[in-house]
Amino acid sequence: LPGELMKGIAESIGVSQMQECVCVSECSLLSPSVCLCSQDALKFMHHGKRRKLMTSDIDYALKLKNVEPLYGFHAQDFIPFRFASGGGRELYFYEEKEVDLSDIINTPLPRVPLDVSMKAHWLSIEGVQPAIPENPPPAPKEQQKAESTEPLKAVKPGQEEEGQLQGKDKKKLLEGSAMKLKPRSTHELSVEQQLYYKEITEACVGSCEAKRAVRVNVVQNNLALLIYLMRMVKALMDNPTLYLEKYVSAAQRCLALPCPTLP
Amino acid sequence: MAAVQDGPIEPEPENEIKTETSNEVLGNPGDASGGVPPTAPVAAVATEKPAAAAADSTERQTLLAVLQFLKKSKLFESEEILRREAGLLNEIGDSQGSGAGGAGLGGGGGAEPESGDASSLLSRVAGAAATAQSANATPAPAKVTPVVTGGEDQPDVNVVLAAYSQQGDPVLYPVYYSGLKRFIDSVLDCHRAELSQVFYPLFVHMYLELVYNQYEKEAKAFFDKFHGDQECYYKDDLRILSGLTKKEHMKGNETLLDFRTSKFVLRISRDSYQLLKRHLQERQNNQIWNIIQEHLYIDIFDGMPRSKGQIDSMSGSLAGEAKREANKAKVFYGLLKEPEIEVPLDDEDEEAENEEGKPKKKKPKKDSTGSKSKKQDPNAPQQSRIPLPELKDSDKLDKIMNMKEATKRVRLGPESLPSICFYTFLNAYQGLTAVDFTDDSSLVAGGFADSTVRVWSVTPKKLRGVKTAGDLSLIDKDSDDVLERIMDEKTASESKNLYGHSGPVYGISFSPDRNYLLSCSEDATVRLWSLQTFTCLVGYKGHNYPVWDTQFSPYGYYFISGGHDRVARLWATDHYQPLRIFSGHLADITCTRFHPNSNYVATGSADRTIRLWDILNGNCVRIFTGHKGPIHSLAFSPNGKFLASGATDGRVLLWDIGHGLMIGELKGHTDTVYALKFSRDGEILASGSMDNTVRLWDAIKAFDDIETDDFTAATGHITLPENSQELLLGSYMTKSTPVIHLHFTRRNLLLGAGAYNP
Repeated sequence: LPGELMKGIAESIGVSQMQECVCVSECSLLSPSVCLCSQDALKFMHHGKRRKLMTSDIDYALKLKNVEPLYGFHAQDFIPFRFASGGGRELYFYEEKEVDLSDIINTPLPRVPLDVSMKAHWLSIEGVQPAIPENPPPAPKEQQKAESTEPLKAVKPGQEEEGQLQGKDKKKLLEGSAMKLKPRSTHELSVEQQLYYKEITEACVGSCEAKRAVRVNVVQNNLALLIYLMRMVKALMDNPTLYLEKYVSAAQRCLALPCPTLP
Repeated sequence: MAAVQDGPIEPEPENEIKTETSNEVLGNPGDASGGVPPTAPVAAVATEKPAAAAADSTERQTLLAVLQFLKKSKLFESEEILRREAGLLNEIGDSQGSGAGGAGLGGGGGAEPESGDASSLLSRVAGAAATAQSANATPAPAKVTPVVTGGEDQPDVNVVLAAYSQQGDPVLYPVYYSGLKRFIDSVLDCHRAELSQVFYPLFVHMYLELVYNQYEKEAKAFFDKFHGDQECYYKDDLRILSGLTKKEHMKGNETLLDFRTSKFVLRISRDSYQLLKRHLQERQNNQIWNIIQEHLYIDIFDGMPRSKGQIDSMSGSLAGEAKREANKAKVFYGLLKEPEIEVPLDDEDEEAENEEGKPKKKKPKKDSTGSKSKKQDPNAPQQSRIPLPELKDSDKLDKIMNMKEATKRVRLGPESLPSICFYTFLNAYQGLTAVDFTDDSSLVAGGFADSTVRVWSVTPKKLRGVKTAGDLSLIDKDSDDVLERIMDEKTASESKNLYGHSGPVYGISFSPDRNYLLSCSEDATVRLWSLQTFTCLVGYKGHNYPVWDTQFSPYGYYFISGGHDRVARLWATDHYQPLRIFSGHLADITCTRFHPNSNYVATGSADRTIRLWDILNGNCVRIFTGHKGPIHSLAFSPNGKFLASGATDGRVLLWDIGHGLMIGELKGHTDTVYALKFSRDGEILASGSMDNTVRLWDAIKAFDDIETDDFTAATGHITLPENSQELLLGSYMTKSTPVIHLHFTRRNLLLGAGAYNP
């Protein structure tokens, strides 16, 4: 713990001008206690089956050592520390606001949080994880790629060959895109539609001037539908679980066909 | 400072002075404050210490203090021997201090001449200090032990810490350490791995010595220079150590104190040990040799030196490995015989079984499992070794149900994986801390951080409590369905809340007969709840610190609890005090489990060891080391032979109880493994973890290879095959729901439980 800390604390109480050596010695006395307290708080976190250390853990750790817990730090997520810098020092402090009592009394009561409930679902049926909404989205792109390119290599359910850490990142992406896709209905785009999309984008944003002009005319009528379609396809493309590469080769083959139809 | 004090003095201020000045250099020899009439030898010690002037070692002071105490206690022979060994001149002790007499001793009693003695003794010593200084350079360890007898007020703490008062030149510590490092680097490869085990305990003890003797700068320098060399799995411990820079810090930490008193166990082959011994004894490295002798226990074995991999798999615990003798006791790991029960023939019609005490009146069939083996299994305990409760009628019915379900049990294996039904707790706001299922999977209970316990019914049948006394008096007691009538239909509900704890509930356990529920909490109590009335029946107070885990015995009546106070307690439901206390762990007990035969209890701890205790006599019969983090889950295999354990390091380790060996390591999880369960016939091991996955492992294959290797039991170490991938049968991810509990139903359906944590 740096000596600055002690200086800051002293100043907040009102004791200015603490000597350097005093600060340092006070800090060195403090650090192992803080260390021990955080070790104990970690134990409470582990037994609470959590990854995040909460203020309640620290309170219980202090209780263990017969020290009164700190009051006033109950927060759902993070304690709202405010940052201030000045005079060459940086400081994080907890802003203790003074609130009028009548305001507190008169505010409407917050909504009661939902009660704990229990719900059952099938995580796996005879070894295979069903693709129901309660289960995470099925195998990521890489696995589908592996499946399509190397069908002989048996992949066990849920086994990720890349490191687990990657899996976690993907999972976050999966969550994100799953949320995005939910309000939309997932249509499977046929190859022709994909092709159409490709043509359209090329026409609209491609460098060929002539193409662009023509296409825009044709398309003006159903612009709204087109935009919808494009957004949907973009979402599909962004979705890391859907591996569209399977369809690309088919798409490439068909690309040649509509070209003669363009004026 | 030649103060003359007449009256008796309270011991407290004296003791304070004593503890603080034991290492301080104070005063002036001339100010022999022997004028204080001591009320106790302790007090005398205290006053004399300040008088012992001039930059002298603590050892000197404590030695003199001890001499003085011995004299007072009239242990003249011991005093003589000590004085001779310590090299103090005889005349110092014999002369009656005239100088001290002049200081004006008040008070009376036999204490007076002693104080006079001591003061003159010390005054002379102070003078001779300069000459005696050189003698301090290499103190023999034997001199340290008499300090232990010095009557001090906090014997355990100060005595322990005083063991560090031997002096070596602090500046030379890094030199000694580097010297040893160089030597170990130079030995043959096969020995190097084994001798490298010495580094960590040596490093820690040397660092603590420096801190205790208040060489802060040198301690910090020593730490900075060498802490990077240590093994990665000691990282957490080193972090704690880095925070300890002063002597006062050491006193508050019980785990650390226990670490000092208990010896760190190392297992080294004879050849490597000879090498080390020869090296240390031929040089002047007495310091390291002293530490090794005092704080390390080297378990020598004859055989091939172990490889780094083998050593790494077994090390990681706070006190080194387990001595071989610790794992040699006979353990009765077999199962108790099932009692013979008459089974009604009708298999299809299960409805008739529901009414208690009314078996079908068809021709009964003798239960085959009970009568099969008349011979006692040599590995099973005697039926009456532990008094177990008698089987009630309801228990017998339960067993019959169990057997019927068993016939419908799915045979699991690598080809036939279990289906998993997952129970997710929604809106728990990270508050779900414990879960348990009944054996027949009809009820599930959850313990929460808001100190409530909730019981849910898994089947469509609702939870009903017994009616109140007033209502009960109204019912017709002679009717046939009286047992139905006593239940209150009006308040029947899907779930019931149990209020009573005043802290988060960390452990939950149903009784096998589904009548009771146990819960243990941060408020240091274990509570017994009735599932008939859904109220609290008993609160067991014994631990004074949070209780981390509790479990009912598989036969009911007994239960175990373990907590922060580093002991596990065995209770019976009808005794308000524990029947047994199992102490031995160095850090808090995080997980407690009964063996299927209810004769043994396994406890996993934050000191990264697992101990198996015999509940008959309270002995520790097995110590398993190898985890690199606190253990959070334990599971016995249904046949009682094996134990699986999961810890914060994400590994699941498999242990053979009979031989006391580690026989398998299942790698794959990336976060703490909180749930471990074997399938009903022991074919599959399921593990659930904070990384939101449930993994299934092939238990039969894992245990198969090891059964035949008996020679390893002699040396106690084996090479673990790197076959985690082959043993993994499936891995199932949940949607951000850490898996806290797993349970196999009687038909081998796997149930999982966890709280949704978006």
